Amino acid sequence: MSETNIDTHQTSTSTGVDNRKLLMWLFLGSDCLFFGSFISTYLVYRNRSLSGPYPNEILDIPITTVSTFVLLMSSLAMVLGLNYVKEGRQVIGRYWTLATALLGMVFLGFQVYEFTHFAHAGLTPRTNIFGTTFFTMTGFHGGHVTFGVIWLLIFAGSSLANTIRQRLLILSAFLSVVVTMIGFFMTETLDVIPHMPFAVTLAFILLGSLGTVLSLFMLRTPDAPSSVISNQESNLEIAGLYWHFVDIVWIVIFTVVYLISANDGAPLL
Amino acid sequence: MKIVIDLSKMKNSFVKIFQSFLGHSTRGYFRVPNTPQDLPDPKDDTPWAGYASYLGDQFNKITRKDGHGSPVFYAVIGLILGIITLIEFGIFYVESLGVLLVPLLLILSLLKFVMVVGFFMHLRFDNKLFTYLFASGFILAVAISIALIVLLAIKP
Repeated sequence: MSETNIDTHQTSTSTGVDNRKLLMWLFLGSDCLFFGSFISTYLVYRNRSLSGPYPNEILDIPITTVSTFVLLMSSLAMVLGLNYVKEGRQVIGRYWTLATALLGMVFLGFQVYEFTHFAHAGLTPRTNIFGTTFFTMTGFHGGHVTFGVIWLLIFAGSSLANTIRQRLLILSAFLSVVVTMIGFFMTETLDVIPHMPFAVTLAFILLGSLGTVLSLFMLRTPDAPSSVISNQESNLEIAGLYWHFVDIVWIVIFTVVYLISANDGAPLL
Repeated sequence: MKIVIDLSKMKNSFVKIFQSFLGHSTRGYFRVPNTPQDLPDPKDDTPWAGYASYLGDQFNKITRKDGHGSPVFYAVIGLILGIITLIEFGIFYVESLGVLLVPLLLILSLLKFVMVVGFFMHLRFDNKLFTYLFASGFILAVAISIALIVLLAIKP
């Protein structure tokens, strides 16, 4: 185990730190400005919508609290995955990395649910200034989360899985979760096919769940020899930094947009 | 008669007066530390020295300043983050808080932000250069946001 614990901190660069990590931190610093501009635009145009729906009619705080909790737990899964990969424990690191991506997908599911619900209630980006600023900000955040999920899945498939079988199982776990979520959405919000029989949606949910559990069970193959495990630790660390950043942006959005502005109604003219 | 002003004697007399007030050697207060010999000994001779250094050591120990955290450590941080989210959700429905609600929510959110950045993103354990880079971007973003809100959102 100890042989695989590669120390990547001693790098021979002029700054003494890993250049890719430095680049990621620079990017995150600039991304603060990117999201800062969206959040401040939202606050500038707060309470200025001339027509409804207004935030107090539409925002669902309990559901958003749950999705915030899911994203926080995905951050925990990410840091645990990195911790185990640093220790050279590839299998458990692979599970935690997958768990991070899956929790990210659950968060995206909440966002799809919320956006669909808003659209049904009559709020779209072109309805009023609240819709425009809200959908632009949360949409870009959702885009970041989607990119992170894809990044983590590709990482888990390419760096943590050594055989074709393991890669196929990771893909299968991912697709099974997607099938399960489609099943849930068909019962509740998405009118993909009107009058869908309940048995079909139930079949989606059951098959998806079974596929997820089976794929994850079969993924528990032993660690690869230490020579195969290469520079994956610092690669995962950089992906992790991006993921945690997405999480902290949501921490700010949850407080500023949801909790603080949830009682906003029609403007007092 | 010529009056000679000896500055060093004057300084010593002042030092003696202060010493009598403070009740201890004033090495830490009056000498500019240029060499290790000039540094105050003991390092911190304030009345709260023992408590401050003890609390500082304990804080460094709890926050794992000298190394990375363990899985249990990260799990505890995750648990605290979850509890803070629950508190935010709870106080949102307390109507009696009134104007205190927004500052309270901002403080809790800042606490979560700092915990994720410090422990999950390893800024607490990592090279200080990363902290400076990220903090400069973040502070600039906050400053621009405040300026925009003050300029555009607050009606005269």
